[in-house]
Amino acid sequence: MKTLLEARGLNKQYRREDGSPLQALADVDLAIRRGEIYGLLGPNGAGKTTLISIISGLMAPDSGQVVIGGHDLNRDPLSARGLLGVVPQELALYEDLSARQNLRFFGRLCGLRGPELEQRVDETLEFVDLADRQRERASRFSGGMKRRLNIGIGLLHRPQLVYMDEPTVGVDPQSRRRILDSVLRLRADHGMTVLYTTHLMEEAQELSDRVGIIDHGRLIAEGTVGDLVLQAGEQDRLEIDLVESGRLDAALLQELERALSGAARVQSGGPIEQGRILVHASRGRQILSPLITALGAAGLEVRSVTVQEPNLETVFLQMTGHALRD
Amino acid sequence: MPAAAILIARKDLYLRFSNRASLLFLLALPLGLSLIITLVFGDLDGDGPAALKGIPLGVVNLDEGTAQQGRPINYGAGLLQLLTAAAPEAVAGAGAAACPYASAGGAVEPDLAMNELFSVQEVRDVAAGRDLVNSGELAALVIVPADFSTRLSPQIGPGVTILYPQAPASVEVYSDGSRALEGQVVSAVVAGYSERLLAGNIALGAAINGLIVQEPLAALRLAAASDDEAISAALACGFADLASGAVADVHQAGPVDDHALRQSTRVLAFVGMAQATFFALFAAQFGVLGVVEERRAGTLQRILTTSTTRSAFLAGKLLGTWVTALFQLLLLLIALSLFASLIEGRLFFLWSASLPALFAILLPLSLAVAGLGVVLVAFVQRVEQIGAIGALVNILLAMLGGAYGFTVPEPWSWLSLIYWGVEGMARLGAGDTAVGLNALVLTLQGLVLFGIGLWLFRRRVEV
Ligand SMILES: Nc1ncnc2c1ncn2[C@@H]1O[C@H](COP(=O)(O)OP(=O)(O)OP(=O)(O)O)[C@@H](O)[C@H]1O
Ligand SMILES: [Mg+2]
Repeated sequence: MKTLLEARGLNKQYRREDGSPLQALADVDLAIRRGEIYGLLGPNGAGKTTLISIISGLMAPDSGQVVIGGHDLNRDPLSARGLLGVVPQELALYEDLSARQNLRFFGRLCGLRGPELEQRVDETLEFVDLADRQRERASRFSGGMKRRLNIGIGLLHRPQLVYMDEPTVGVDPQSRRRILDSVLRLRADHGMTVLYTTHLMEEAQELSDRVGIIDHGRLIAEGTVGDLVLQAGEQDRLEIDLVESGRLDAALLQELERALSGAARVQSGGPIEQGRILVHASRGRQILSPLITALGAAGLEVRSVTVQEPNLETVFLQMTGHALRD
Repeated sequence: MPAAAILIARKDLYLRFSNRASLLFLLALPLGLSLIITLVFGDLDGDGPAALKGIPLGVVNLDEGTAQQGRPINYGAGLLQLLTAAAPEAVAGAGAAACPYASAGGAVEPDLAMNELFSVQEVRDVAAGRDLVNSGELAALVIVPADFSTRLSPQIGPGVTILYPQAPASVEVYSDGSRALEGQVVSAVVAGYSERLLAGNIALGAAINGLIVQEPLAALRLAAASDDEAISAALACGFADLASGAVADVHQAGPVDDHALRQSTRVLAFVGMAQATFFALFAAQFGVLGVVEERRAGTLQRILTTSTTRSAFLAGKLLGTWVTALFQLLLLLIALSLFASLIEGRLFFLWSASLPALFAILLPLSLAVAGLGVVLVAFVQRVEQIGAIGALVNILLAMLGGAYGFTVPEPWSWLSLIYWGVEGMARLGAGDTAVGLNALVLTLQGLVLFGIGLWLFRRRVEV
């Protein structure tokens, strides 16, 4: 697949209020292929919005180069930006214009005119589910509706490449679902390439063909969700709650490990009298039945078992030493 | 102008004029300001021109007189007599109505008798007279030069050649800048008199009779000597157009600065135009605040992620602000005119000497203030900063432009768009449409300011 966006060696330093430097981006290389949905996952302050600002030409990097569809963003900014649609993290629309007027204005700026413009506006209103409220001013919209309009404006002109910067922040689960679905439809219906930033592991995991993990301005890992898990060497995690903790002790835990012939690591999940056992194994489901058998043999009754497969959250924890949400 | 700039300006204007709050602001500001100006400076209790009763006026008559065909003539004495005359039609005489030119210079035609309008005091010494004006005792001093009569008299040369007019007869009206209106009235009367001396106005009194006898004779001779169409036409009007300005040059002078604050026909007009210019500055800054608001709302950034350049964006803002400032200025001037009409009891428009000339000032003036606004927003990040920095810049410009009553040496005041605006409007107020230089300087200032603003705006790392 061909590369649509290529960013090389991006650096950006801000000044803190006290004048000390803050490295918001450090040597970020990013390549996004045509037709893919790329999820950029990182906690608050990781540098996602800074990166988006730079690759949309709003902010000059201290160093580095951005090429979109073969056009250097610095040397040929208009051609490069012509391929772009940006959905900013913060709402960016005219509160005093109606939904339709907002779309029309930005559509015209992107060069759409006449019947084509009107048709795109209609389609977009349909797409973001605002057709019935299109004549109302944006200031009368709910937060979720504004977000949808905010998204619509970025998509109206059917750009080849769309940046969506945390589009689901502050919306209810229903609207969120709708937004996620619409991202998938963008590619399915129009073949758009999407760069999607989020601090939510589930979103990155659900949408992305590839995920980049960013923290403290560094892109620390990149790949499919499966790749990343493998890269981090993560194991499944089994959590077993016992009916009573009576006979549970360290010796018993070792006995269990032996019973599983070393395929798993068995620990107590918290103080021993809580009656919780944690098991880490690379193939969690396969050891489930021997594990329960062994527990029964030891006279322990199982109340519940949770199997947690490794996810980006645990990968992130593993790679950075801190949780995604803190 | 790129299409994007026009789109942005159109959007701004739509938002401004469709939003009730901002529309109210757009309308209320000029209307309120003109009402305040009227209340403060308009003469509400007096009923129009009658309020100008008894203007204390000094006359120094240095006229040595002349003789025409053996008859002694002293036009200076005639002027003095006119100013103290009891007949109301003394100035607006019968001859004036017949000729379109005849009233051109007489901006004020009072319904009052001259002796009601002026309280005339004859002064012997010019210096003493000036002192009386300076001390405020007199509103104005009319200085009739020694050669007044001589210069107003046609010199008939040998044969049929007529040497007419000579160098203009020069009457000085020395008045106090703070009594602009009264000085203006005096000037108008003197100008009217001088003109009518040559227009063959019969109503001017005994002292002029000699002229009336002479004038048709001279005219006939001239007609015989020349088939020049312009001169013939002039003759039809009894020399009126030759007279206006060319023959009798009534020039005003004053103890205060006599060029920056040219007298206008109305105090209201004078205060109004200075205020209008000053006001335009604020109007424009309000308009350009939109840039800061759009930055805060994120729409600026959004626009710049499309293929719209920063230049196009700023040009759009300039255009929208320009139109808004022009609209507000016009509104202010119309409102002031209406208020003034109410006071005068008849409908008339201030500064309406020439509509093209009015726009020749207003268009570049609004452009210049809009340009200034653009420089400001290119500098600052936040709305509050614009308020503070904007006020500072405005005060500085007002100071340079002489809006605070003291003047700054010439080349410095030229830097201020206020100077050019006020000066141009003052010309219009005085019926002078030669505002080309003002228009040119203001346009250049507007473009240069916009250029600087654009340069600053494009240099920003972050919008
Ligand atoms: N204009 C600025 N001036 C100074 N520091 C800034 C500026 N913008 C961002 N930062 C800092 O740069 C870092 C990265 O910010 P950025 O907005 O890119 O993070 P983010 O990943 O988008 O976070 P979030 O998920 O909260 O949106 C943060 O530490 C932030 O405080
Ligand atoms: Mg962000």
